[in-house]
Amino acid sequence: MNSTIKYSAIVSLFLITLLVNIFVPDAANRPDQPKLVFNIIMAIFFAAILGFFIYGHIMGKQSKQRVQTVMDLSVIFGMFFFLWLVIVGKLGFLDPLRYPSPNTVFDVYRSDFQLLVVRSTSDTIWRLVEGYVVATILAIPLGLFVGRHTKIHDRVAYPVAKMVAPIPPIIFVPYAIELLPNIDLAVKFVIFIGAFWPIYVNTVYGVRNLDYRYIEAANTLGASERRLYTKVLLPGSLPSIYAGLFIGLVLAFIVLAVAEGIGGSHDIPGLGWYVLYFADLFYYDKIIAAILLIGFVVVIWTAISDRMQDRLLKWQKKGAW
Amino acid sequence: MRAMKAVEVTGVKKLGNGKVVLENVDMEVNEGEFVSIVGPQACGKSTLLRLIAGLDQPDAGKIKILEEEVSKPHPKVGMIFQETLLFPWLKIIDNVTFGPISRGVEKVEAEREATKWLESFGLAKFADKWPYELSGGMQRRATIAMMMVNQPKVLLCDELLGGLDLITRNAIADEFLKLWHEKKPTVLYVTHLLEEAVYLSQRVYVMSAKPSKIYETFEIDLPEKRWEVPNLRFSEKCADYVNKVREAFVEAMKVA
Repeated sequence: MNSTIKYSAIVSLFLITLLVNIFVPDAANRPDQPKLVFNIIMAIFFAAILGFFIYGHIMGKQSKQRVQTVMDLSVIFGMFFFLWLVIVGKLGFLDPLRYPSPNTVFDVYRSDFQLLVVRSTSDTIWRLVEGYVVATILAIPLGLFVGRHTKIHDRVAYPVAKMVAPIPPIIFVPYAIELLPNIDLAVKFVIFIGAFWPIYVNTVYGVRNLDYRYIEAANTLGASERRLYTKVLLPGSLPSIYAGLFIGLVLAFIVLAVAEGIGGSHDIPGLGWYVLYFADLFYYDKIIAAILLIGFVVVIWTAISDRMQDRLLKWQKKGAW
Repeated sequence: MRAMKAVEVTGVKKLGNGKVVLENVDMEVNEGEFVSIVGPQACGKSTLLRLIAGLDQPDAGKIKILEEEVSKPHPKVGMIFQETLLFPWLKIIDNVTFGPISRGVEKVEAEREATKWLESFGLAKFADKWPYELSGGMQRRATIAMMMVNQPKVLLCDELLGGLDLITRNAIADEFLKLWHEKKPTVLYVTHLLEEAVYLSQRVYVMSAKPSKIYETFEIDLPEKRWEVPNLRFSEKCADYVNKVREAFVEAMKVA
Protein backbone atom coordinates (compact mmCIF):
# COMPACT_ATOMS: atom_id res chain seq x y z
CA MET A 1 0.00 0.00 0.00
CA ASN A 2 2.89 2.26 0.81
CA SER A 3 4.16 1.97 -2.75
CA THR A 4 0.68 2.76 -4.10
CA ILE A 5 0.72 6.14 -2.36
CA LYS A 6 4.26 6.80 -3.56
CA TYR A 7 3.41 5.84 -7.14
CA SER A 8 0.21 7.94 -7.10
CA ALA A 9 2.28 10.95 -6.08
CA ILE A 10 4.71 10.29 -8.93
CA VAL A 11 1.92 9.88 -11.47
CA SER A 12 0.24 13.09 -10.34
CA LEU A 13 3.53 15.04 -10.70
CA PHE A 14 2.90 15.38 -14.42
CA LEU A 15 -0.71 16.35 -13.91
CA ILE A 16 0.33 19.02 -11.40
CA THR A 17 2.91 20.36 -13.84
CA LEU A 18 0.23 20.50 -16.53
CA LEU A 19 -2.26 22.31 -14.28
CA VAL A 20 0.34 24.78 -13.04
CA ASN A 21 1.21 25.61 -16.63
CA ILE A 22 -2.41 26.22 -17.56
CA PHE A 23 -3.58 28.17 -14.52
CA VAL A 24 -0.53 29.98 -13.13
CA PRO A 25 0.33 33.14 -15.06
CA ASP A 26 3.70 33.39 -16.82
CA ALA A 27 6.61 35.33 -15.36
CA ALA A 28 6.70 38.99 -16.27
CA ASN A 29 10.10 38.71 -17.99
CA ARG A 30 8.86 36.03 -20.42
CA PRO A 31 5.23 36.69 -21.33
CA ASP A 32 3.09 34.80 -23.83
CA GLN A 33 4.91 31.48 -23.81
CA PRO A 34 3.53 29.09 -26.43
CA LYS A 35 2.20 26.40 -24.14
CA LEU A 36 0.53 23.92 -26.45
CA VAL A 37 3.39 21.47 -27.12
CA PHE A 38 4.64 21.29 -23.56
CA ASN A 39 1.10 20.72 -22.31
CA ILE A 40 0.51 17.95 -24.82
CA ILE A 41 3.75 16.24 -23.88
CA MET A 42 3.01 16.47 -20.16
CA ALA A 43 -0.46 15.04 -20.85
CA ILE A 44 1.10 12.16 -22.82
CA PHE A 45 3.58 11.46 -20.00
CA PHE A 46 0.76 11.56 -17.49
CA ALA A 47 -1.41 9.19 -19.51
CA ALA A 48 1.47 6.79 -20.22
CA ILE A 49 2.61 6.56 -16.61
CA LEU A 50 -0.94 6.30 -15.36
CA GLY A 51 -1.46 3.46 -17.83
CA PHE A 52 1.70 1.79 -16.57
CA PHE A 53 0.61 2.25 -13.00
CA ILE A 54 -2.74 0.55 -13.72
CA TYR A 55 -0.99 -2.21 -15.68
CA GLY A 56 1.27 -2.82 -12.70
CA HIS A 57 -1.76 -3.15 -10.47
CA ILE A 58 -3.41 -5.67 -12.77
CA MET A 59 -0.27 -7.73 -13.30
CA GLY A 60 0.65 -7.67 -9.60
CA LYS A 61 3.95 -9.03 -8.44
CA GLN A 62 5.36 -10.27 -11.71
CA SER A 63 5.72 -6.75 -13.11
CA LYS A 64 6.99 -5.27 -9.85
CA GLN A 65 10.57 -4.78 -10.99
CA ARG A 66 9.58 -3.11 -14.24
CA VAL A 67 7.05 -0.78 -12.60
CA GLN A 68 9.68 0.16 -10.04
CA THR A 69 12.15 1.11 -12.78
CA VAL A 70 9.62 3.21 -14.68
CA MET A 71 8.55 4.95 -11.50
CA ASP A 72 12.13 5.71 -10.49
CA LEU A 73 12.74 7.29 -13.89
CA SER A 74 9.44 9.17 -13.78
CA VAL A 75 10.18 10.79 -10.47
CA ILE A 76 13.41 12.22 -11.89
CA PHE A 77 11.76 13.50 -15.07
CA GLY A 78 8.65 14.69 -13.27
CA MET A 79 10.60 16.73 -10.73
CA PHE A 80 12.86 18.09 -13.46
CA PHE A 81 10.00 19.38 -15.62
CA PHE A 82 8.07 20.70 -12.65
CA LEU A 83 10.99 22.64 -11.17
CA TRP A 84 12.07 23.89 -14.56
CA LEU A 85 8.60 25.21 -15.30
CA VAL A 86 8.10 26.84 -11.91
CA ILE A 87 11.54 28.35 -11.41
CA VAL A 88 12.09 29.60 -14.94
CA GLY A 89 8.68 29.90 -16.56
CA LYS A 90 6.49 31.02 -13.70
CA LEU A 91 8.81 32.75 -11.20
CA GLY A 92 11.09 34.21 -13.87
CA PHE A 93 14.44 33.44 -12.27
CA LEU A 94 17.59 33.30 -14.44
CA ASP A 95 18.03 35.19 -17.69
CA PRO A 96 15.56 34.33 -20.46
CA LEU A 97 18.11 33.95 -23.28
CA ARG A 98 20.30 31.26 -21.72
CA TYR A 99 17.58 29.64 -19.66
CA PRO A 100 14.43 29.45 -21.78
CA SER A 101 11.27 28.08 -20.19
CA PRO A 102 10.13 24.56 -21.04
CA ASN A 103 7.25 26.04 -23.00
CA THR A 104 9.63 27.89 -25.32
CA VAL A 105 11.89 24.87 -25.67
CA PHE A 106 9.15 22.38 -26.43
CA ASP A 107 7.60 24.76 -28.94
CA VAL A 108 10.74 24.25 -31.05
CA TYR A 109 9.43 20.76 -31.82
CA ARG A 110 6.46 22.47 -33.52
CA SER A 111 8.16 25.45 -35.13
CA ASP A 112 11.16 23.44 -36.30
CA PHE A 113 9.29 20.20 -36.79
CA GLN A 114 10.54 19.45 -40.28
CA LEU A 115 14.22 20.19 -39.73
CA LEU A 116 14.67 18.96 -36.17
CA VAL A 117 12.16 16.23 -35.52
CA VAL A 118 11.84 14.74 -38.98
CA ARG A 119 15.06 15.18 -40.90
CA SER A 120 17.77 15.63 -38.26
CA THR A 121 16.49 12.93 -35.94
CA SER A 122 15.78 10.31 -38.56
CA ASP A 123 19.09 10.92 -40.34
CA THR A 124 20.99 10.69 -37.08
CA ILE A 125 19.25 7.49 -36.06
CA TRP A 126 19.96 5.93 -39.44
CA ARG A 127 23.62 6.87 -39.35
CA LEU A 128 23.88 5.44 -35.88
CA VAL A 129 22.06 2.25 -36.76
CA GLU A 130 24.12 1.63 -39.88
CA GLY A 131 27.52 2.51 -38.43
CA TYR A 132 26.90 0.74 -35.16
CA VAL A 133 25.23 -2.34 -36.57
CA VAL A 134 27.94 -2.85 -39.18
CA ALA A 135 30.56 -2.44 -36.44
CA THR A 136 28.78 -5.03 -34.30
CA ILE A 137 28.36 -7.52 -37.12
CA LEU A 138 32.05 -7.33 -38.01
CA ALA A 139 33.58 -6.91 -34.56
CA ILE A 140 31.94 -9.85 -32.79
CA PRO A 141 32.87 -12.66 -35.23
CA LEU A 142 36.34 -11.22 -35.74
CA GLY A 143 36.79 -10.89 -31.98
CA LEU A 144 35.69 -14.47 -31.42
CA PHE A 145 38.07 -15.73 -34.09
CA VAL A 146 41.06 -13.76 -32.85
CA GLY A 147 40.28 -14.65 -29.25
CA ARG A 148 40.23 -18.32 -30.18
CA HIS A 149 43.57 -18.28 -32.04
CA THR A 150 46.28 -17.33 -29.60
CA LYS A 151 49.03 -17.07 -32.19
CA ILE A 152 47.08 -14.72 -34.47
CA HIS A 153 46.13 -12.68 -31.43
CA ASP A 154 49.64 -12.40 -30.00
CA ARG A 155 51.54 -11.82 -33.24
CA VAL A 156 49.15 -9.79 -35.38
CA ALA A 157 45.87 -8.74 -33.88
CA TYR A 158 47.05 -7.49 -30.52
CA PRO A 159 49.95 -5.35 -31.79
CA VAL A 160 47.74 -3.85 -34.50
CA ALA A 161 44.86 -3.19 -32.12
CA LYS A 162 47.21 -1.68 -29.59
CA MET A 163 48.45 0.79 -32.19
CA VAL A 164 45.19 1.64 -33.91
CA ALA A 165 42.51 1.40 -31.23
CA PRO A 166 43.71 4.30 -29.06
CA ILE A 167 43.62 6.77 -31.98
CA PRO A 168 40.59 8.97 -31.27
CA PRO A 169 38.12 8.21 -34.05
CA ILE A 170 37.19 11.89 -34.26
CA ILE A 171 40.50 12.78 -35.91
CA PHE A 172 39.51 10.64 -38.90
CA VAL A 173 36.56 12.92 -39.63
CA PRO A 174 38.17 15.53 -41.92
CA TYR A 175 40.08 12.89 -43.85
CA ALA A 176 37.05 10.61 -44.16
CA ILE A 177 35.00 13.51 -45.51
CA GLU A 178 37.73 14.18 -48.04
CA LEU A 179 38.16 10.57 -49.12
CA LEU A 180 34.65 9.18 -49.12
CA PRO A 181 32.14 10.11 -51.83
CA ASN A 182 29.71 11.88 -49.51
CA ILE A 183 29.53 13.28 -46.01
CA ASP A 184 26.80 10.92 -44.92
CA LEU A 185 29.07 7.97 -45.63
CA ALA A 186 31.98 9.68 -43.88
CA VAL A 187 29.92 10.16 -40.73
CA LYS A 188 28.80 6.51 -40.81
CA PHE A 189 32.39 5.45 -41.31
CA VAL A 190 33.70 7.25 -38.24
CA ILE A 191 30.77 5.97 -36.17
CA PHE A 192 31.77 2.53 -37.34
CA ILE A 193 35.40 3.10 -36.29
CA GLY A 194 34.31 4.53 -32.96
CA ALA A 195 32.04 1.61 -32.13
CA PHE A 196 34.18 -1.14 -33.65
CA TRP A 197 37.17 -1.12 -31.30
CA PRO A 198 35.42 -1.33 -27.97
CA ILE A 199 33.16 -4.12 -29.22
CA TYR A 200 36.05 -5.99 -30.81
CA VAL A 201 38.43 -5.63 -27.86
CA ASN A 202 35.78 -6.73 -25.39
CA THR A 203 34.85 -9.73 -27.51
CA VAL A 204 38.48 -10.86 -27.67
CA TYR A 205 38.79 -10.25 -23.95
CA GLY A 206 35.61 -12.24 -23.33
CA VAL A 207 36.90 -15.28 -25.21
CA ARG A 208 40.36 -15.15 -23.68
CA ASN A 209 38.94 -14.85 -20.19
CA LEU A 210 36.66 -17.80 -20.72
CA ASP A 211 37.79 -20.73 -18.58
CA TYR A 212 39.75 -22.85 -21.08
CA ARG A 213 38.19 -25.95 -19.57
CA TYR A 214 34.89 -25.05 -21.23
CA ILE A 215 36.63 -25.27 -24.58
CA GLU A 216 38.36 -28.50 -23.60
CA ALA A 217 35.09 -29.93 -22.33
CA ALA A 218 33.46 -29.10 -25.66
CA ASN A 219 36.39 -30.78 -27.43
CA THR A 220 36.14 -33.99 -25.43
CA LEU A 221 32.39 -34.02 -26.13
CA GLY A 222 33.17 -33.95 -29.85
CA ALA A 223 31.93 -30.46 -30.69
CA SER A 224 32.66 -29.24 -34.19
CA GLU A 225 34.38 -25.89 -34.64
CA ARG A 226 31.07 -24.31 -35.63
CA ARG A 227 29.33 -25.67 -32.56
CA LEU A 228 32.21 -24.47 -30.42
CA TYR A 229 31.68 -20.91 -31.70
CA THR A 230 27.90 -20.82 -31.41
CA LYS A 231 27.40 -22.82 -28.21
CA VAL A 232 30.51 -22.04 -26.20
CA LEU A 233 32.58 -19.05 -27.31
CA LEU A 234 29.75 -16.66 -28.21
CA PRO A 235 27.47 -17.26 -25.20
CA GLY A 236 30.45 -17.54 -22.86
CA SER A 237 31.84 -14.15 -23.85
CA LEU A 238 28.46 -12.42 -24.09
CA PRO A 239 28.73 -10.60 -20.74
CA SER A 240 31.97 -9.03 -21.91
CA ILE A 241 30.56 -8.34 -25.38
CA TYR A 242 27.71 -6.44 -23.79
CA ALA A 243 30.14 -4.24 -21.90
CA GLY A 244 31.81 -3.49 -25.25
CA LEU A 245 28.48 -2.78 -26.95
CA PHE A 246 27.67 -0.18 -24.33
CA ILE A 247 31.04 1.59 -24.53
CA GLY A 248 30.75 1.37 -28.32
CA LEU A 249 27.38 3.08 -28.22
CA VAL A 250 28.66 5.92 -26.04
CA LEU A 251 31.64 6.44 -28.34
CA ALA A 252 29.43 6.23 -31.40
CA PHE A 253 27.27 9.05 -30.04
CA ILE A 254 30.26 11.24 -29.25
CA VAL A 255 31.82 10.67 -32.64
CA LEU A 256 28.49 11.18 -34.34
CA ALA A 257 27.92 14.58 -32.76
CA VAL A 258 31.37 15.84 -33.70
CA ALA A 259 31.33 14.36 -37.19
CA GLU A 260 27.92 15.85 -37.92
CA GLY A 261 29.10 19.16 -36.53
CA ILE A 262 32.04 19.23 -38.90
CA GLY A 263 30.34 17.83 -41.98
CA GLY A 264 26.70 18.75 -41.54
CA SER A 265 24.68 21.52 -43.19
CA HIS A 266 21.04 22.36 -43.86
CA ASP A 267 21.16 19.80 -46.66
CA ILE A 268 22.83 17.16 -44.53
CA PRO A 269 21.16 17.67 -41.16
CA GLY A 270 21.54 15.68 -37.97
CA LEU A 271 21.06 16.18 -34.25
CA GLY A 272 24.77 16.79 -33.65
CA TRP A 273 24.92 19.31 -36.45
CA TYR A 274 21.72 20.98 -35.22
CA VAL A 275 23.13 21.61 -31.74
CA LEU A 276 26.49 22.92 -32.93
CA TYR A 277 24.99 25.05 -35.68
CA PHE A 278 22.45 26.82 -33.45
CA ALA A 279 24.98 27.19 -30.65
CA ASP A 280 26.86 29.58 -32.93
CA LEU A 281 23.65 31.56 -33.41
CA PHE A 282 22.74 31.67 -29.67
CA TYR A 283 19.43 29.80 -30.11
CA TYR A 284 19.54 28.17 -26.71
CA ASP A 285 15.94 27.01 -26.87
CA LYS A 286 16.77 25.01 -29.99
CA ILE A 287 19.90 23.59 -28.43
CA ILE A 288 18.06 22.38 -25.35
CA ALA A 289 15.26 20.96 -27.50
CA ALA A 290 17.82 18.98 -29.53
CA ILE A 291 19.69 17.81 -26.44
CA LEU A 292 16.46 16.52 -24.91
CA LEU A 293 15.70 14.74 -28.15
CA ILE A 294 19.15 13.10 -28.15
CA GLY A 295 18.54 12.05 -24.57
CA PHE A 296 15.23 10.56 -25.60
CA VAL A 297 16.83 8.59 -28.43
CA VAL A 298 19.50 7.25 -26.06
CA VAL A 299 16.91 6.24 -23.47
CA ILE A 300 14.83 4.32 -26.03
CA TRP A 301 17.93 2.70 -27.52
CA THR A 302 19.35 1.54 -24.17
CA ALA A 303 15.91 0.36 -23.04
CA ILE A 304 15.71 -1.94 -26.07
CA SER A 305 19.25 -3.20 -25.62
CA ASP A 306 18.73 -3.76 -21.88
CA ARG A 307 15.70 -5.89 -22.59
CA MET A 308 17.72 -7.96 -25.07
CA GLN A 309 20.56 -8.26 -22.60
CA ASP A 310 18.27 -9.46 -19.82
CA ARG A 311 16.86 -12.11 -22.11
CA LEU A 312 20.22 -13.33 -23.40
CA LEU A 313 21.97 -13.32 -20.04
CA LYS A 314 19.26 -15.05 -18.06
CA TRP A 315 21.74 -17.79 -17.22
CA GLN A 316 23.78 -15.45 -15.06
CA LYS A 317 23.04 -15.55 -11.39
CA LYS A 318 21.55 -12.22 -10.38
CA GLY A 319 21.80 -10.30 -7.15
CA ALA A 320 25.36 -11.27 -6.27
CA TRP A 321 25.54 -8.17 -4.18
CA MET B 1 40.93 -64.44 -22.65
CA ARG B 2 43.21 -61.50 -22.17
CA ALA B 3 41.39 -58.41 -20.92
CA MET B 4 41.56 -55.47 -23.28
CA LYS B 5 43.79 -52.67 -22.14
CA ALA B 6 41.64 -49.55 -21.74
CA VAL B 7 44.46 -47.15 -20.92
CA GLU B 8 48.17 -47.69 -21.47
CA VAL B 9 50.66 -45.03 -20.50
CA THR B 10 54.30 -45.85 -21.27
CA GLY B 11 57.26 -43.66 -20.42
CA VAL B 12 55.29 -40.46 -20.70
CA LYS B 13 57.15 -37.23 -20.18
CA LYS B 14 55.67 -33.75 -20.28
CA LEU B 15 57.40 -30.39 -20.09
CA GLY B 16 55.65 -27.15 -19.29
CA ASN B 17 57.26 -23.71 -19.11
CA GLY B 18 60.67 -25.37 -19.31
CA LYS B 19 60.02 -27.47 -16.23
CA VAL B 20 59.39 -31.19 -16.06
CA VAL B 21 55.73 -31.69 -15.22
CA LEU B 22 55.64 -35.44 -15.75
CA GLU B 23 58.63 -37.73 -15.81
CA ASN B 24 58.51 -41.27 -17.04
CA VAL B 25 54.97 -42.23 -16.06
CA ASP B 26 53.86 -45.82 -16.65
CA MET B 27 50.34 -47.03 -16.07
CA GLU B 28 48.18 -49.84 -17.34
CA VAL B 29 44.44 -50.05 -16.76
CA ASN B 30 42.28 -52.93 -17.94
CA GLU B 31 38.83 -52.44 -19.37
CA GLY B 32 36.17 -52.02 -16.69
CA GLU B 33 38.60 -51.22 -13.88
CA PHE B 34 38.14 -48.41 -11.42
CA VAL B 35 41.48 -46.87 -10.48
CA SER B 36 42.36 -43.80 -8.49
CA ILE B 37 45.34 -41.51 -8.72
CA VAL B 38 46.39 -39.66 -5.58
CA GLY B 39 49.35 -37.44 -4.98
CA PRO B 40 50.48 -34.17 -3.43
CA GLN B 41 49.52 -30.87 -5.02
CA ALA B 42 51.16 -30.00 -8.30
CA CYS B 43 52.37 -33.57 -8.87
CA GLY B 44 50.90 -33.56 -12.37
CA LYS B 45 47.71 -35.56 -11.76
CA SER B 46 45.57 -33.22 -13.80
CA THR B 47 48.20 -32.97 -16.52
CA LEU B 48 48.29 -36.74 -16.82
CA LEU B 49 44.52 -36.84 -17.14
CA ARG B 50 44.54 -34.15 -19.83
CA LEU B 51 47.13 -36.12 -21.78
CA ILE B 52 45.02 -39.26 -21.57
CA ALA B 53 42.00 -37.23 -22.68
CA GLY B 54 43.96 -36.21 -25.78
CA LEU B 55 43.75 -32.51 -24.95
CA ASP B 56 47.52 -32.20 -24.95
CA GLN B 57 50.44 -34.18 -26.39
CA PRO B 58 53.23 -35.76 -24.32
CA ASP B 59 56.80 -34.70 -25.09
CA ALA B 60 57.95 -38.30 -24.94
CA GLY B 61 56.33 -41.67 -24.47
CA LYS B 62 53.08 -43.14 -25.66
CA ILE B 63 49.46 -43.10 -24.58
CA LYS B 64 47.03 -45.67 -25.89
CA ILE B 65 43.29 -45.72 -25.33
CA LEU B 66 41.51 -48.98 -26.17
CA GLU B 67 44.74 -49.99 -27.92
CA GLU B 68 44.71 -46.98 -30.20
CA GLU B 69 47.29 -44.25 -29.89
CA VAL B 70 45.83 -40.93 -28.70
CA SER B 71 46.40 -37.74 -30.64
CA LYS B 72 43.09 -35.95 -30.15
CA PRO B 73 40.04 -36.41 -27.90
CA HIS B 74 38.80 -39.96 -28.32
CA PRO B 75 35.02 -40.32 -28.85
CA LYS B 76 34.86 -43.12 -26.29
CA VAL B 77 36.55 -41.07 -23.58
CA GLY B 78 34.59 -38.77 -21.30
CA MET B 79 36.25 -36.28 -19.05
CA ILE B 80 34.81 -34.60 -15.96
CA PHE B 81 36.86 -31.56 -15.10
CA GLN B 82 37.77 -30.22 -11.72
CA GLU B 83 34.73 -28.69 -10.05
CA THR B 84 31.55 -28.68 -12.03
CA LEU B 85 31.77 -27.98 -15.66
CA LEU B 86 28.28 -27.62 -16.84
CA PHE B 87 28.11 -24.83 -19.39
CA PRO B 88 26.44 -22.11 -17.30
CA TRP B 89 24.73 -20.59 -20.37
CA LEU B 90 22.96 -23.82 -21.34
CA LYS B 91 19.96 -25.26 -19.55
CA ILE B 92 20.51 -28.62 -17.84
CA ILE B 93 18.88 -30.58 -20.65
CA ASP B 94 20.99 -28.75 -23.27
CA ASN B 95 24.11 -29.51 -21.27
CA VAL B 96 23.30 -33.21 -21.25
CA THR B 97 22.46 -33.28 -24.96
CA PHE B 98 25.60 -31.31 -25.86
CA GLY B 99 27.70 -34.45 -26.40
CA PRO B 100 25.17 -36.52 -28.36
CA ILE B 101 24.18 -33.61 -30.64
CA SER B 102 27.87 -32.82 -31.20
CA ARG B 103 28.33 -36.41 -32.36
CA GLY B 104 25.43 -36.16 -34.78
CA VAL B 105 22.50 -37.63 -32.82
CA GLU B 106 19.13 -36.09 -33.75
CA LYS B 107 17.93 -33.52 -31.21
CA VAL B 108 14.72 -35.39 -30.35
CA GLU B 109 16.57 -38.66 -29.86
CA ALA B 110 19.30 -36.95 -27.81
CA GLU B 111 16.71 -35.33 -25.57
CA ARG B 112 14.93 -38.62 -25.01
CA GLU B 113 18.19 -40.26 -24.00
CA ALA B 114 19.21 -37.29 -21.84
CA THR B 115 15.85 -37.27 -20.05
CA LYS B 116 16.32 -40.94 -19.19
CA TRP B 117 19.66 -40.15 -17.57
CA LEU B 118 18.32 -37.13 -15.73
CA GLU B 119 15.45 -39.24 -14.41
CA SER B 120 17.85 -41.86 -13.10
CA PHE B 121 19.57 -39.15 -11.08
CA GLY B 122 16.28 -37.69 -9.88
CA LEU B 123 16.93 -34.56 -11.93
CA ALA B 124 14.02 -34.75 -14.39
CA LYS B 125 12.29 -31.72 -12.95
CA PHE B 126 15.46 -29.65 -13.27
CA ALA B 127 15.83 -30.25 -17.01
CA ASP B 128 14.66 -26.74 -17.83
CA LYS B 129 16.72 -24.96 -15.17
CA TRP B 130 19.98 -23.05 -15.50
CA PRO B 131 22.97 -24.69 -13.77
CA TYR B 132 23.24 -21.96 -11.13
CA GLU B 133 19.75 -22.82 -9.92
CA LEU B 134 20.94 -26.29 -8.80
CA SER B 135 22.75 -27.17 -5.60
CA GLY B 136 26.37 -28.32 -5.78
CA GLY B 137 25.37 -31.98 -5.45
CA MET B 138 22.71 -31.69 -8.15
CA GLN B 139 25.21 -30.01 -10.44
CA ARG B 140 27.63 -32.88 -9.91
CA ARG B 141 24.92 -35.43 -10.72
CA ALA B 142 24.01 -33.49 -13.85
CA THR B 143 27.67 -33.52 -14.87
CA ILE B 144 27.81 -37.28 -14.48
CA ALA B 145 24.63 -37.57 -16.58
CA MET B 146 26.22 -35.28 -19.17
CA MET B 147 29.13 -37.74 -19.48
CA MET B 148 27.27 -41.03 -19.17
CA VAL B 149 24.80 -40.16 -21.91
CA ASN B 150 27.69 -40.53 -24.38
CA GLN B 151 28.26 -44.11 -23.21
CA PRO B 152 31.97 -43.61 -22.64
CA LYS B 153 34.27 -46.61 -22.46
CA VAL B 154 36.75 -44.64 -20.40
CA LEU B 155 35.75 -42.00 -17.89
CA LEU B 156 38.33 -39.56 -16.55
CA CYS B 157 37.33 -37.72 -13.38
CA ASP B 158 39.34 -34.84 -11.98
CA GLU B 159 38.20 -34.13 -8.41
CA LEU B 160 34.64 -35.10 -9.27
CA LEU B 161 33.42 -34.54 -5.72
CA GLY B 162 35.63 -31.62 -4.75
CA GLY B 163 33.99 -28.81 -2.81
CA LEU B 164 31.00 -30.82 -1.62
CA ASP B 165 30.00 -31.43 1.97
CA LEU B 166 30.86 -34.86 3.34
CA ILE B 167 27.34 -36.31 3.35
CA THR B 168 26.61 -35.32 -0.24
CA ARG B 169 30.07 -36.50 -1.17
CA ASN B 170 29.52 -39.96 0.24
CA ALA B 171 26.04 -40.21 -1.24
CA ILE B 172 27.22 -39.33 -4.74
CA ALA B 173 30.24 -41.62 -4.35
CA ASP B 174 27.89 -44.55 -3.74
CA GLU B 175 25.65 -43.57 -6.64
CA PHE B 176 28.70 -43.34 -8.83
CA LEU B 177 29.92 -46.78 -7.73
CA LYS B 178 26.55 -48.34 -8.52
CA LEU B 179 26.60 -46.70 -11.91
CA TRP B 180 30.09 -48.01 -12.58
CA HIS B 181 29.07 -51.50 -11.48
CA GLU B 182 26.11 -51.41 -13.85
CA LYS B 183 27.79 -49.94 -16.96
CA LYS B 184 31.39 -50.95 -16.29
CA PRO B 185 33.23 -48.07 -17.92
CA THR B 186 36.92 -47.85 -17.11
CA VAL B 187 37.29 -45.08 -14.55
CA LEU B 188 40.41 -43.05 -13.80
CA TYR B 189 39.65 -41.07 -10.70
CA VAL B 190 41.91 -38.25 -9.56
CA THR B 191 41.44 -37.08 -5.99
CA HIS B 192 43.42 -35.79 -3.06
CA LEU B 193 41.28 -37.61 -0.50
CA LEU B 194 42.92 -40.95 0.29
CA GLU B 195 39.81 -42.40 2.00
CA GLU B 196 37.76 -41.73 -1.08
CA ALA B 197 40.37 -43.25 -3.37
CA VAL B 198 40.49 -46.44 -1.28
CA TYR B 199 36.73 -46.70 -0.91
CA LEU B 200 35.99 -46.28 -4.59
CA SER B 201 38.70 -48.03 -6.49
CA GLN B 202 40.24 -51.41 -7.20
CA ARG B 203 43.67 -49.92 -7.47
CA VAL B 204 45.28 -46.74 -6.16
CA TYR B 205 48.28 -45.08 -7.79
CA VAL B 206 50.30 -42.79 -5.57
CA MET B 207 52.23 -40.13 -7.46
CA SER B 208 55.24 -38.23 -6.19
CA ALA B 209 55.80 -34.57 -6.95
CA LYS B 210 59.50 -34.23 -7.73
CA PRO B 211 60.05 -36.16 -9.92
CA SER B 212 56.44 -36.51 -11.04
CA LYS B 213 55.85 -40.17 -11.54
CA ILE B 214 54.02 -43.17 -10.15
CA TYR B 215 55.56 -43.76 -6.75
CA GLU B 216 53.65 -46.80 -5.59
CA THR B 217 50.63 -48.89 -6.57
CA PHE B 218 48.12 -50.53 -4.23
CA GLU B 219 45.61 -53.23 -5.14
CA ILE B 220 42.47 -52.74 -3.05
CA ASP B 221 40.70 -55.96 -2.24
CA LEU B 222 37.25 -54.95 -1.02
CA PRO B 223 33.86 -56.35 -2.13
CA GLU B 224 32.73 -54.85 -5.42
CA LYS B 225 29.27 -53.86 -4.20
CA ARG B 226 30.71 -51.70 -1.48
CA TRP B 227 27.53 -49.77 -0.86
CA GLU B 228 25.91 -53.02 0.35
CA VAL B 229 28.40 -53.51 3.19
CA PRO B 230 27.29 -51.46 6.17
CA ASN B 231 29.86 -48.94 7.34
CA LEU B 232 32.55 -50.26 5.04
CA ARG B 233 34.11 -46.82 5.02
CA PHE B 234 34.85 -47.14 8.72
CA SER B 235 35.90 -50.80 8.71
CA GLU B 236 39.31 -51.90 9.86
CA LYS B 237 40.21 -53.29 6.47
CA CYS B 238 39.45 -49.99 4.80
CA ALA B 239 41.41 -48.12 7.46
CA ASP B 240 44.39 -50.42 6.90
CA TYR B 241 44.46 -49.60 3.21
CA VAL B 242 44.12 -45.90 3.90
CA ASN B 243 47.05 -46.07 6.33
CA LYS B 244 49.24 -47.89 3.84
CA VAL B 245 48.40 -45.40 1.12
CA ARG B 246 48.99 -42.54 3.53
CA GLU B 247 52.46 -43.85 4.41
CA ALA B 248 53.34 -44.08 0.74
CA PHE B 249 51.89 -40.62 0.21
CA VAL B 250 54.08 -39.16 2.94
CA GLU B 251 57.12 -40.93 1.51
CA ALA B 252 56.23 -39.63 -1.95
CA MET B 253 56.21 -36.10 -0.61
CA LYS B 254 59.69 -36.55 0.83
CA VAL B 255 61.17 -37.60 -2.50
CA ALA B 256 62.48 -34.34 -3.81
